[in-house]
Amino acid sequence: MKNPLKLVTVAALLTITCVASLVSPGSRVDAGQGEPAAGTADAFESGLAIYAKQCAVCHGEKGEGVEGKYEKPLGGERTLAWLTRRVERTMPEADPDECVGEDAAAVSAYLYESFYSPEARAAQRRLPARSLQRLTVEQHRQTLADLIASFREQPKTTDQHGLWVQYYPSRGMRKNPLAERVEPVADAVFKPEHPMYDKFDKKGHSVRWSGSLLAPETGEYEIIVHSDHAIRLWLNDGKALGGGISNEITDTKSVALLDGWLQSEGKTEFRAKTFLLAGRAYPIMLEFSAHTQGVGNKDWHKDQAAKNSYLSLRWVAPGGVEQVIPEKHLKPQKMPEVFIAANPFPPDDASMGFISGAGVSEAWLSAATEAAIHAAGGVVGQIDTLAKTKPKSKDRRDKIIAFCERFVSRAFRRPLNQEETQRHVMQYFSAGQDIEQAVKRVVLAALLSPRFLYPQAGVSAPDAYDAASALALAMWDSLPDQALREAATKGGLVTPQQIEQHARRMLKDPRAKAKLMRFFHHWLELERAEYADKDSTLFPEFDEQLLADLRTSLDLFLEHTVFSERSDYRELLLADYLYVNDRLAEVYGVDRGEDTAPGFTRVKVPADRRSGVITHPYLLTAFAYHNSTSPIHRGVFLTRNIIGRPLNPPPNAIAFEGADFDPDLTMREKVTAFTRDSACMACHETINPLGFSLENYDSLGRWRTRENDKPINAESDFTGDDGKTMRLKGARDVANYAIQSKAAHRAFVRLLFQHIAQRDPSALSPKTLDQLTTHFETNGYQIQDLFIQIAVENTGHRLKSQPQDDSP
Amino acid sequence: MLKAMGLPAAAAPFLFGLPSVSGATLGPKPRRLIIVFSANGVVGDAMWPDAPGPIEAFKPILEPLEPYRSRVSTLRGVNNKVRGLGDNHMRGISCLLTGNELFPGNIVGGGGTAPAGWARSISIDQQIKNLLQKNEQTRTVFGSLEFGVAVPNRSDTWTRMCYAGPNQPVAPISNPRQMVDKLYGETADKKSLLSVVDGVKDDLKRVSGKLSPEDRELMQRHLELIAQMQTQLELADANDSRHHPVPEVDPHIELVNDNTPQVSRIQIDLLVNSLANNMTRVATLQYMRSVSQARMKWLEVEEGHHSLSHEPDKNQDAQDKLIKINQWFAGEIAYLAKQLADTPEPGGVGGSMLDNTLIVWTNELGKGNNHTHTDIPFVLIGGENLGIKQGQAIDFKPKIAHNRLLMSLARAMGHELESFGINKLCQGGTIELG
Repeated sequence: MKNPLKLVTVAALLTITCVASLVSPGSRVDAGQGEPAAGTADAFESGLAIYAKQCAVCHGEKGEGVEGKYEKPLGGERTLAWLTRRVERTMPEADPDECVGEDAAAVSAYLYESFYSPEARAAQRRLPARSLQRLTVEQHRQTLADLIASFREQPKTTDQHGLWVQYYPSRGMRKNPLAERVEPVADAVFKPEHPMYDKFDKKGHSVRWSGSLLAPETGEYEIIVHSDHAIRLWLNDGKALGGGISNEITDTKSVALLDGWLQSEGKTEFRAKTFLLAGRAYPIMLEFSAHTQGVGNKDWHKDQAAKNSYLSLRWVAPGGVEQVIPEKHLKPQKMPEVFIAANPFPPDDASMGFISGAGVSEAWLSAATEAAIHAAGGVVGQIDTLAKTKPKSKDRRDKIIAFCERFVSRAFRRPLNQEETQRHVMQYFSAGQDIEQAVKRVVLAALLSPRFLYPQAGVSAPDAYDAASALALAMWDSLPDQALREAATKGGLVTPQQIEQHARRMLKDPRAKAKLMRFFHHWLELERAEYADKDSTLFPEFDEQLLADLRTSLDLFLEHTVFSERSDYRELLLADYLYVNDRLAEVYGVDRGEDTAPGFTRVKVPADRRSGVITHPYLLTAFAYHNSTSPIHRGVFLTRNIIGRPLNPPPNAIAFEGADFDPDLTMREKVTAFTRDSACMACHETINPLGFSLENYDSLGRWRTRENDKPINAESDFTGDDGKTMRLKGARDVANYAIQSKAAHRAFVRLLFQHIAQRDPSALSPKTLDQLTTHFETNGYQIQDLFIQIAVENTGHRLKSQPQDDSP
Repeated sequence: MLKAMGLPAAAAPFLFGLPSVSGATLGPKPRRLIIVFSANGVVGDAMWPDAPGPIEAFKPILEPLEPYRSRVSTLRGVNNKVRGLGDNHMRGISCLLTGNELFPGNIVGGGGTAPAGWARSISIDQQIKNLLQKNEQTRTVFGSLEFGVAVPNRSDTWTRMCYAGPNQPVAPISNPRQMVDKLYGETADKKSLLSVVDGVKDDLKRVSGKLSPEDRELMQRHLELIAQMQTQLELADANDSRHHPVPEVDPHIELVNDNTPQVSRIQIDLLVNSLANNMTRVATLQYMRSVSQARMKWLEVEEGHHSLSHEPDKNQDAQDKLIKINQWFAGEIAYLAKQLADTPEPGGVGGSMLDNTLIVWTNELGKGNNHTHTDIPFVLIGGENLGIKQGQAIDFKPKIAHNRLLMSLARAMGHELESFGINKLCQGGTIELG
């Protein structure tokens, strides 16, 4: 309510649209309807006969549609059971009684298997020999970062968190430190209780924190330091961290991100924004001197005693609020700097329901060009370091040429032959050509080449290099690392087992974790939550801090469930615990028991009150109005994303206005009245029961038992994929239904596949989705394992589909 | 060498339909201002002409400006009367163009002075820039450019002269490569792009041959976009309205003390070039910093400049060296004046650029060994079309606060200010320079 404009946005986002269309030609969302009844050959024949006689006249021989009659092709995502009912009741239009009972079942089975179901349609489609995609924006940035990083020494990483801290007795940092150790965060008040206090010089002391900062998401971060004394902070700046930081004033070769070494007018807060890529560690160094600076004059120091001086290193991460940078996002180990292409890109194509690198545009080419120019400038600026030479070395030119060859080869993800080396590297190094200029051109040409921008362009026959490239994109959205490059060269990427071995190794990398987390944010539609706002009269507890805490709570939950050993999809839906801090415990009435640890802890909650991610208050808050719940939003989310039934975008949008109804009605009563129409009920017969099952959670996701002084009714009848009716009593019943539903599993597998491979599983084969789903179901619903299986399948498929006749 | 790779430059749309870097055609007779700074005061006897009035002869320090004697005026009796926190060196540079006190801070200077922070308010160059940028007739790509020569790479009250506002020091650019990048980087990038674009098109065609018809369509679309970009780049290249080509700059010049003379000339060339191309109308050229300890070995002066300036007046050797040092600065300014005088005013309006460009040479102190802010040197060169009457030795009696001179510079640039910096130091208003 602080921002009225924001409220308007929220209202607009939450406009309910009614879904009236049922058949969905061309819809790309999975049906996941369970298995079609196994029809016998006879039934199939009779179905064919009935179709030819009664249906083909309007729908065409193969369901393709007939001009002037029913023009749309027959195809959709509904279950066979649903289809049978539909045929029974409404077909043929002239006389619905003509096709009922066994006939309706037979003809439905025939058309379902022949052309209606997604699999049938996938099988009908001619699989294109190859469908070229460009890098997505995330892949583009990650690839550029890794391409340049591959020429730096990469230290072996450790799991240790926190920062390396060095304490110095006086204002300079020249002498030996008093103490050096790892501390969890940089957030200190130097008062007498501080363990170092007595060792400090009376005139003041200084401290240096160093290590790396881990970015969990790609986006803009605001880095903040609060301090009443001199500070400066470098981030992602190799020069600053290569040593040579002097102690006197701000004498350094590089530019600090935050420079408060000179304090003026009592300024105690320093902030700067910077764009970071997910899953990477950025070198950071923070210096602090509780002392006056300058040429020095003893008289002043007495008045400047550094008692109670303080320093706090904080950030605002994407979607978060200002907080001390948590230990888990810090490492005491200094990592090399990372190249970041931070220039804006137009968003990727998401028209298929997932992000893909389909299509090119002027804005995209302009952004790609800008990124290439930025990268070329960066490479030229550090050419001697990257090419491991020196400005005056005799073999500088040779080393730089060798660097350029490797650079282009890595950018193209395969070795260059002699002709390619000439064309992509040597032609720019003609006699008399300035070396820096040549490097710039090589880099620009490589980064604008289709062979860089479209990872599969220039692949005449899929081979081990193509496999390495596909696997790196699937696991990291990036380039093959050295191990993958070597495996490709030495024939170590041929069998599925070899590919899987690499995938398992790569899974441990933070980039894989970031990619998987990004999937869950997408699956749970968390971008919606960032706009959540609540009526401050009804929900005085709600503010940005609460929203940020909820986001942290959900991320901790996801990390725990997804990145544990079990990594169990079922736990994701059934878990009876929440991550809470003091604030959340109070707002959500969670008893932390004996646990008084600061920050977030995992707390068990009654199993009849919460059931995994679908009852996480962050989601429930996002899928709700600013002043009430929204069973429709919640129901649509559960329908599509959790139980895996597709819904179509509405041809006519009707906004649900709570204020249009008698205020004495419950939300359930309003929604029931609103969707009463039979056209609505086609979809709302699914949406409403699911949405109502969450009516025990208010607009903030708090448990409630009454609304408007009436008891909450969260129970409904619900028709399962098999057409049978069941009673849903609440959220846990929905979760239990989902973990037993093939359709739900298929939807989950399909969405994850699309996220990993930027294409639909049907692009591999009509069977791919079923095979992966079966594997998932028979291997403990392991999410990490599914990630690997998808990456391996998507990679290995290329090798299998290698055309045999394409010999050089 | 120039930018840290990690932190990207400000993101700006790069291609497609953007106007070229350089400014539009100049209107008649633009007004320009260059302020040149050097440190540690001067030797008054070797600086000020004997008597007010037309300058008949230069004293030694100004001798290098002899070819322009009729176009030079000296202003004596201008004091920096700003007091408050910080030592005289800090206030000497950081209050020189602001006419206002420093904030309290944590930087302790010499002489038992109270610690200070940054300047409290905007400097006159930035103020004039803001005024010029508001008007379409006088607006330029950069508005102002801050050149440095051998300014140490650190940021404090002794090294900053320009302020965009309270607590907002503007760092001068001392690295010619960085300045070339700032001025012409985009142009250079476009040229590099043009040089690789045919190769990229060739790649697209080669790759296309191996693809399915659907994918070939995508490559075709990509090729069309590349061709469109190429056309625009070529058009921009052909329409480039800059009058003067990018100066050649040795990319490998090391920024070390002994290379200062070469760096100085490169920076001056770039400065004149940027003015001629109408990329800015306001520029500062800061030599070193206050308390500069430059060792001018190229003048066979081994001692640091600041140490020499502390020597008593009777140390003749030190006086001679200080004269030599200041002569060198005068020589650099003479070179700047010559470049401007030798360049016809662009746009065919007649005259040279020096006619429309006022150079102001100033200093942090009047004299080094007593750290005085009395008789801060101000030498004006050229800029007659700004209403400056040159060839005069002026000696203000009583002495005036330098705030009034700062206001006069704004007026010369076409803007009347009611006051600038500390109000009471502006009493009497602008001074007559015509």
